[in-house]
Amino acid sequence: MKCSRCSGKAVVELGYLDERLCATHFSALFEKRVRKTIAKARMLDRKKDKIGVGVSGGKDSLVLLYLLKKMHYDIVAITIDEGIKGYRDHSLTYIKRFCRKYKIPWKTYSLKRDYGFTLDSIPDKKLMCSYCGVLRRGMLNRKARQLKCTKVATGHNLDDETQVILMNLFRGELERLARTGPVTGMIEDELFVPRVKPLRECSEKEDVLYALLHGIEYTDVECPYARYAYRNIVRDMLNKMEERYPGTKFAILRNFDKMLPFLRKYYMPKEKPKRCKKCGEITRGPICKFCETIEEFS
Amino acid sequence: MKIHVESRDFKKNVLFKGSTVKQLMKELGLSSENFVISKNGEIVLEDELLANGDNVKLFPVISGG
Repeated sequence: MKCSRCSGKAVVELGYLDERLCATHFSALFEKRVRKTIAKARMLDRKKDKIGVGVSGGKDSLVLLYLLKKMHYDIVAITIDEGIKGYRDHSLTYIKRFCRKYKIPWKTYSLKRDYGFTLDSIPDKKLMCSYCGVLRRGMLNRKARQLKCTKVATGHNLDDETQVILMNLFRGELERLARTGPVTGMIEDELFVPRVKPLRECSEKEDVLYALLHGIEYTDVECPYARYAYRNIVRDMLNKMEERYPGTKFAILRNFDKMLPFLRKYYMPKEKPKRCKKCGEITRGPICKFCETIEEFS
Repeated sequence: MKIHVESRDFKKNVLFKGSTVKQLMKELGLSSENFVISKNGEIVLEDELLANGDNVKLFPVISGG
């Protein structure tokens, strides 16, 4: 089957565009979309920003790292080793190899080394994704700030974004929904490094394809705790909708982006953020979620 | 015909009576939506024709991490 734009052999069928593309045209489309996503939300400034890229060793984060390097941004790869045996230790070898190949500075920080426990040691496996999210986001923000990064970029893709939008809607967590989006967070504070998601308009499948076409070696070992996630149910539902009605995920994202300014206006905190009594980071209550989690398990 | 199929979780030889990748995926009970597929090292679409001895590799889209 031929590419819709040239006589080359098609490697992907994009139902939402009703097009089949060859490797060259797919790569061009993918890169153009990432550039547009960055520009549209004014995510990054090549002259001003030092970007800490959260890297897990999976397809999304390594594709992001590859593209930001290709686009000549000032980047440093940051990995949070939360201590999941057979998963994180495996991925570290991929990141090390990748960063060496592309001459990207890489910093890795361990939960065990800094706080004396690993995620594996937490007994309640059902809430693992919530604990992991709090710990990884907290450490990533602290470490990025120490490295004098002005932005943190993460490899969240179209699937991640649409899943989060629906999960928050299903759970009635509109305030949480207002904090997500292309640039995360509603407040400006010297302690908070804004997080951006340049791949939010690229699907999981497109990330895999781009990685394979560009020789990006990534780990596809599944996190052993992923099976507990509520997200899986939402993912299956969304994938079925997308298969039947191509463009569903883009429609969710586009409509959410239109709603976001209104959500943010409504839920914008009236007061300045407080400082955590334990660590001095920003918080809503007296102690931040990060410290609460650390205290519970260390 | 005999097709060698490899993915993250399995490797096997499949005795296959159909002719396309799409039919192979159906026989394996897998959805093409969840994989990027290569034949003999080249990325292909699901309407790709298969021949005896072909190596098919399935790259899972969902990593969950």
